Amino acid sequence: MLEELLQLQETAVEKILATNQLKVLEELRVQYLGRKSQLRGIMSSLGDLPADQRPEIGQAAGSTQNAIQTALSNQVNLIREAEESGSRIDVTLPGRAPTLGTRHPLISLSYELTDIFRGMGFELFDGPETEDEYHNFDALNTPQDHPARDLHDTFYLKKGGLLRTHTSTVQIRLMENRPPPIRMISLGRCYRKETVDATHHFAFHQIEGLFVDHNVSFADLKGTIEAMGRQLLGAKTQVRFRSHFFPFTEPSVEYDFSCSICDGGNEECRICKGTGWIEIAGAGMVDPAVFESVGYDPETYTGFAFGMGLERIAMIRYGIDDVRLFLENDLRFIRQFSNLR
Amino acid sequence: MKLTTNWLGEYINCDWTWMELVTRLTMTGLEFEGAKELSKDLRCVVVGHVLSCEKHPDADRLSVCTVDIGENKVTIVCGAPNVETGQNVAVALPGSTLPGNFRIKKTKIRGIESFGMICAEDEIGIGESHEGILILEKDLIPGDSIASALNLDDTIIDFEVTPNRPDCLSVVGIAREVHAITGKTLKIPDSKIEHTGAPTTADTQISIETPLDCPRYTVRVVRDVKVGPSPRWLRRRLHAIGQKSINNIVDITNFVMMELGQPLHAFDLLKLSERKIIVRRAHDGEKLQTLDGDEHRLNQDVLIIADGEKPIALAGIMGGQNSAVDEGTTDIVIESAYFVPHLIRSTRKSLGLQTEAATRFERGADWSICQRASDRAAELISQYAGGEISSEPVDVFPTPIETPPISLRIERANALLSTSFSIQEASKLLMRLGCETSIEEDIININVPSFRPDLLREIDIIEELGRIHGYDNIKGSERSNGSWLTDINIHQQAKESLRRMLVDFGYDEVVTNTVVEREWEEIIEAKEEIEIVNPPTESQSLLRTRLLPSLLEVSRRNFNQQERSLKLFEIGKCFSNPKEPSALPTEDTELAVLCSGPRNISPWQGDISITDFFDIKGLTERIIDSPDITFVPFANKGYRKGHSAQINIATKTVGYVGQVSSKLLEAFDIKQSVFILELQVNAIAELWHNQNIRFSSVPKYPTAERDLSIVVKDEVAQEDVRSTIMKGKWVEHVEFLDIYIGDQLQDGYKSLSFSLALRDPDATLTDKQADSTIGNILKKLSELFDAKLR
Repeated sequence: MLEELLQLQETAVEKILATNQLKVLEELRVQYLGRKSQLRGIMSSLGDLPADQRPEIGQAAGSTQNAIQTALSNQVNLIREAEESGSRIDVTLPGRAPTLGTRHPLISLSYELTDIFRGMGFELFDGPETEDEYHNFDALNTPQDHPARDLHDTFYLKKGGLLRTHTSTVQIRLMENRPPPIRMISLGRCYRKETVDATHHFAFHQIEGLFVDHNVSFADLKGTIEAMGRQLLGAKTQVRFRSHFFPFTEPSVEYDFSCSICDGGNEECRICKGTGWIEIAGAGMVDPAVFESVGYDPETYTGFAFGMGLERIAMIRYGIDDVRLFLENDLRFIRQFSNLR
Repeated sequence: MKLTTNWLGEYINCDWTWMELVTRLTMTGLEFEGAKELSKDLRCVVVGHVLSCEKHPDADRLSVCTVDIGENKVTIVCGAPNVETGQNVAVALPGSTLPGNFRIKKTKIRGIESFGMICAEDEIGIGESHEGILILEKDLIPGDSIASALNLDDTIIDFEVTPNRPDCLSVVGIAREVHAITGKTLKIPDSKIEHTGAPTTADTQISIETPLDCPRYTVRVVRDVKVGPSPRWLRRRLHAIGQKSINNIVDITNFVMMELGQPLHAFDLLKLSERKIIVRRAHDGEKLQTLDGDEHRLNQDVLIIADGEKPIALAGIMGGQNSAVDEGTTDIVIESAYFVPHLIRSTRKSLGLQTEAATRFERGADWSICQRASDRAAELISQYAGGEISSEPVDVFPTPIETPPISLRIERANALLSTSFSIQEASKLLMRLGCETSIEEDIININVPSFRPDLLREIDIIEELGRIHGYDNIKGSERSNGSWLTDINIHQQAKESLRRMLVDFGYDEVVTNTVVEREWEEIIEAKEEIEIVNPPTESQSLLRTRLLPSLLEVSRRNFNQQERSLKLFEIGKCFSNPKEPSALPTEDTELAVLCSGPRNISPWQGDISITDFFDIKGLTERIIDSPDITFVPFANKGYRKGHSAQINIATKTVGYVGQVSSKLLEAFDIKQSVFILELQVNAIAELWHNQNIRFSSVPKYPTAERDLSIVVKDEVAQEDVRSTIMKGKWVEHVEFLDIYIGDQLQDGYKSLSFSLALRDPDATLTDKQADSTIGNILKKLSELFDAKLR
């Protein structure tokens, strides 16, 4: 019996090693380890053996089974390895990436700013781009024949109305229809009759903010702008406020962000020109005359407002040197911003 | 507003470098525009003494000079006619770079080596004269730098002055700002004049016909003046701030305007008919040629100065040629007046003029200094042009201008600014700004100075406190009390979702101009026209009614840059005329999508066949995933007939999809087929917002799958067949598989194949049930469309 088992093992292992086909191996497995195999026959007849021979033969049958099994699985692995290494792809070939479009950089920036201000509790409102004199000027404390009107050269429509020169119009439209408190932003296109060159365009985008409540102070304006600066240009960003003039705010300021490109350390910095400060935009405390024009009591409520040009921020951020690129829509320009999400 | 640091230094000494000065003034509202150090380009320019001067042997017009430049003597070839032995001159040595990046090198001129250049005034940037070289004072020492010899250690600074601050349009005004910031002593020039002449009224009559237009008018006569060039210091100063030197009289009036902020005008007295000066409105049709040479037709809205018969000046804006001071002038009239700001502004706008005088008057000049400015000019004129100053200047000032006092509540100021001024501190600060103050409990009563017409209300005073205190000294706060729910409206949300979707589908977003070419709107045969009266360019004069032309223009541009495959979109406003004529245009947000060219650029990346109608239609179906959507054949608005559809949701038209007509492509010079989708964003927003998503339990029983191919006439619409199949019993889903037209079918027929999924929600369908359903469907199809099984 022992002899028989050894013989069986030898033949089976020999046959297993001789083949390189998985199909043949499967046949061999059935032949040598299957239910009807010789080995199974020996194993099932163990009970017929004398009791003293049983352990020895049993052990030998077990080791034969193990040996055949090991040989089988080793050979399967060998064959699989051989098969796999026989087929190879050039992993340096380009992948088939799903095509993704690109958002326009001004739109990406709009959403980023909207998110920043929403996080501070500002609600987003839209307003018309075609406006009347009242909302664009008079209600904003800029009556006819006020020299401040020269700051904005205006496009007029033939059938009446004009193209808004700033998004501050939306402040008026909102306040006319809603009592305080107000915490809003608005965002959109504005128009001023300017000669188009690398830094000026007659059509541009602004973001506007307004906050009206009891006891709103200049410190709240500063805090808001500072928070925006930190989120937009990094935690180190400093803000400075310079006195300025706008008809619809008083006090009025312009604010500058510290230069995130050179930290004021480079005298030839293209962005801040060595001053360390980048001029961003204007802001101020809402002029009492504006509150009066929308029927708010300036003694009860105070507020602040601010505005910014989107093109300017984008130009600073990405080092864009020509404002005309934004509306030209050359895909070689737009696709440079494909990684903005 | 330009000034020089030395000029400013005459009125206040602030010990600041010019850099510190501009930083401080920028923070308080005078924004720094630029600076130029006068001596910067003059490092190698020195005083030279001409020892000898001989004619060049080979050139008639050149002189060969030996010049003492201190350390040694050099030879310089000079082309100026006025060079002479014994002169002190300005010598630019080799190595210097003069203003305008003009480099001086050692060169041979007609065979003689020249060691530098003898300079004219303009060449060293201190004047405009190029008529010969600049001849310097005798007492200068050869070899000294020209900058120190001529006191050019000076810096020109340019500030942007906001329209509310006419007081800062003068050097004294800026000195007052420095005083307000620092408290340093202000020295305002005081005029000492000798009135020796006959009274002004002796030979001049003055009358004001419209005192409301001109609250104050002062006049003084100076007789026997000698008109000539201005002294060098004056010419240099005017040159530094960019003003042309005309003659001593005009230059002095300009100088006083720059110094004190009060515009002055000098008339030639002898040119005035009847020696009359009348302030009045012009008569319709009167004409005046102004000093710039332009002739203006006047009307009753224009305030003028006239003599006995004709206009002689546009009041507060510009003088007339007919009364100008010229070389022959001997007797002059100095006008110093205060005109009503809005009148000056509307006149200069209607005449299309902008002058230094008008800028000051329209923003509000200082009515209190008319007389003092006139005195100052008279003083300088008698000093530099001689003449006798008339006694008794005329000052017509019938009604004193009153500025009502302002009350400031200190508590209000501190609350608004987040500051903690004591009432005394605030009062002191306001006094430095020129205000008179008196304290009454917790209120400061303030009389503002006449040079600050912008200070009218309490809030104006609060701003002054904040400005001078410095906004940097106010600490920012983070305000987060209260509940602030922010609503996101469905239209904003729809725009954001559309953008995200289209970018994910591989479309690039563009932002085009809303102001478009008239021609484009004509090409698309727009029914509306929203025209700009004063457009940016003559052709770019309409507000867009659709996004389509702009997208075609963007494609054209990008095709020209060798792009072959384009997938673009824009979300933006389009305009239409309002229903009521007096209202503003209606603004609607639209989406337009464009695709053109191969689906993929390389075969490796996938299908490189050309985009067709079904790509853009598929995109539409993905965006509007609604059972209510239908596509109705359409051929209008620039879409190609037979290849385009109107998109309806239920009964409402929400947009168009299809191929762009060849006519439009030709107009935009595009040579490949282009597909467009136009959708109303608000309709999408409402559709998405109103969709009612309800859970239904997951089916328990399997579907039976059947394919069905039928042959129908060509004109039968797939959608009609499909919707008929959908109505069959158990039919859960119908997938269109294929269309076949070709040899195996009769002409005018097509075959349509569908895959059907049938399900009974309450049991497993038997083959028999499924087959009988298919049979019924076929029967119905043959009834309706004469369909045959293929």
